[in-house]
Amino acid sequence: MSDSPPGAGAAVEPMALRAWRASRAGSWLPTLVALAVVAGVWQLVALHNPSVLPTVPQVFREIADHPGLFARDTGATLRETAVGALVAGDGAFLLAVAMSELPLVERAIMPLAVALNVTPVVAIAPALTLILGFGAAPRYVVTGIVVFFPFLINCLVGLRSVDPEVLEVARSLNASRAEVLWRLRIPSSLPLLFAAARICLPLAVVGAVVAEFSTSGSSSGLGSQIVIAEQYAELPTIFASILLLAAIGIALTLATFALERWLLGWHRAARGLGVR
Amino acid sequence: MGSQSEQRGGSARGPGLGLVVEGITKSFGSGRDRALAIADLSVEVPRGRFATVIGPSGCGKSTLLKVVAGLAEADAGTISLFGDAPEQARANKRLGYVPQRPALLPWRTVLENVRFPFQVNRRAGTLATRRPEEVLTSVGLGEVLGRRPHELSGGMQQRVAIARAFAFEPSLLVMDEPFSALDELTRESLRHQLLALWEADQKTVLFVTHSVTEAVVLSDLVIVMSGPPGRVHSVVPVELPRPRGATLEGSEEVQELERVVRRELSAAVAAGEQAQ
Repeated sequence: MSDSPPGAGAAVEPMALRAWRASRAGSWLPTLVALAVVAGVWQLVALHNPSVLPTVPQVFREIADHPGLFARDTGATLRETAVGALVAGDGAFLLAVAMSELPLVERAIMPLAVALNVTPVVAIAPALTLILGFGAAPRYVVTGIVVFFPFLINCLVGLRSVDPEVLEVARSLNASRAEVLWRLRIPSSLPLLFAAARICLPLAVVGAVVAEFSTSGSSSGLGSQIVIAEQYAELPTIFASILLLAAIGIALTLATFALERWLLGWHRAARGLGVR
Repeated sequence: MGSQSEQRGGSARGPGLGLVVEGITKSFGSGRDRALAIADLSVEVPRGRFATVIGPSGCGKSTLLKVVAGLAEADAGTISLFGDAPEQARANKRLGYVPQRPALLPWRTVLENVRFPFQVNRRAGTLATRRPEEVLTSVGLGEVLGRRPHELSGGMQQRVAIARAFAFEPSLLVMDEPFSALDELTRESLRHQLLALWEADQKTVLFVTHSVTEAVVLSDLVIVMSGPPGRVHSVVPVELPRPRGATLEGSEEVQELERVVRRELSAAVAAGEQAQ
C-alpha cells in the first residue's frame, strides 16, 4: 500500500468518477461494456452448446426474418400490459382515495385486497381462462390483478404522507376535506405513485405473460409464442420473444421515468437527485 | 407568586376585547394514563397586542396554542377570539397559524405557497389589503417569488411561512416557536422582520418561544407559564417604545426586563417541580 493517508485517494476518486459520469459518454459506457461482456459470454456458451442456447446473431435473425409476427405479438403483449395496468392503476387510485377518506371502506376492503395479493396469480390464471374464455379478457384481468395491490398500498401511503404540520395549517384555515384531498393529499401522493408504477409495470408484463401461457393456443402475444415454440424446441424463437419482453419492460420503465421527471422535478430536486 | 399577574383580574370582558382564555383544562390519554396538560388556565391578550408565552419544556405551551387555534379541543373552559369561539374564527378564516417548522408545500413556488390560504375555504373570504407579492417583498423575498422551498435557506423558508400567515390578514396570529430551528443570527434578523411586519398592521399575536430575549424584544406582554400541568405563573408587561429597532437589544431596559422574566421563569420551574 502507499504512504498517503487512506482518506486521500478515496476523496479524489469519487470526484473524478463524478466528473466522468457527468459526461454523456461516461454515463452510457459502463452499461454498454457490461452488455458487450454478457453478449460475448453468451455467444461463447452458445457456440459450444447449440442445443441449449441460440447464438446472439441467430436471435436477431429470427426477429428480422419474421418482423410481422413479432410485431403483432409484441403489440399484443404491450397492449395487455398497458391496458391492464392502466385500468387497474386507476381503479386502485380511486379506491385508495375512498379508503383514505372513509376508514370504513378501508376496513371492509383491505382484507380482501390482501387475500388477493397473497394468492399466486399463476394459480388464478388457468381458472380465469376457463371462466372468461381463451380471448384477451383473462389477460387483462390477470395483468390488472398483479398491478392492483402494490399500486393500492402505495397510493394509500402517498395520500397519507402529507406533513402533519401542513395539515394543521390547512385545518387552521378550515380547508374542506375536498380541498385537502385535491390541494394536499393528491400532490403529496404523486412521488409514491410513480414509485409504485416503476414496480408495477414490470410486474404487469409478468402478469400478461402468465396469462398468455394459459391461453396460448388461441391468440397472439409473446407468451403464447414462447409456449408454442417450446413444443417445437425452437430456441431462437423463444429467446427472441424473451428479448422483446425485456424491451417492453425497459420501454415502460423509461417512459415512467420520463413522465416522472417532467411532472415531479420539484420532488427529485428536493431530495437532492438533481433536476432533469 | 402571581403578584404580577395583572391580566388575571376582573377587568371588563366582552366581545372585541381580544383573546380571552378562561379556565381552560386539557388532558391527553384516558384512564390511568390520563395526563393533565393544562389546568384551569386563564389569560387575556388585548386586541392588537403581541403576547409571548414562555415556560419550561413540556409545560403545555404548544397545547395552549393548539387549543386557542382550534386545532385541539379543551376539556373545559371557554376561549373567545374577539367574541368568537376558535371554531368560528377558523370558519371565518380569522386565524393565522405558523407551526414550528415552515410546513411549506414543496411542489409550490414561494408565491403559490403564500396564496394557499386564499385558495382554500374561499367562502370565508379575506380582509387582505395587500397582495401576497407585496407581503413577500416586505420580508425581503421579492426576488425569490418563483423559487421552490428546497431552493431556500431555513430562515427564508420560515419567512415564507410567516408571510403566508400574515398575507391574508387574519385577526389573530398564533405562532409556535417559529424560530426554534434557526441559528442565532438568522433568528435575530427574523425577529426584526417579524416586528416590522407586525408593526405595520398590529394584529393580535400569541407567540410561543424559549428565548427570553425574543420574548422581551417582541412582546407587549410576556406570559410565563409553569407546569405540567400548564398554568399561568405570571404576566410581565413590557412597556418598551415602538417601533423597536435592532438597537434596542442589549439596552439597559431590555436587560432589566430580561432579568425580571428570567426570575419569573425560574420561579415557575421551581413551582412546577414542587407541584410534582
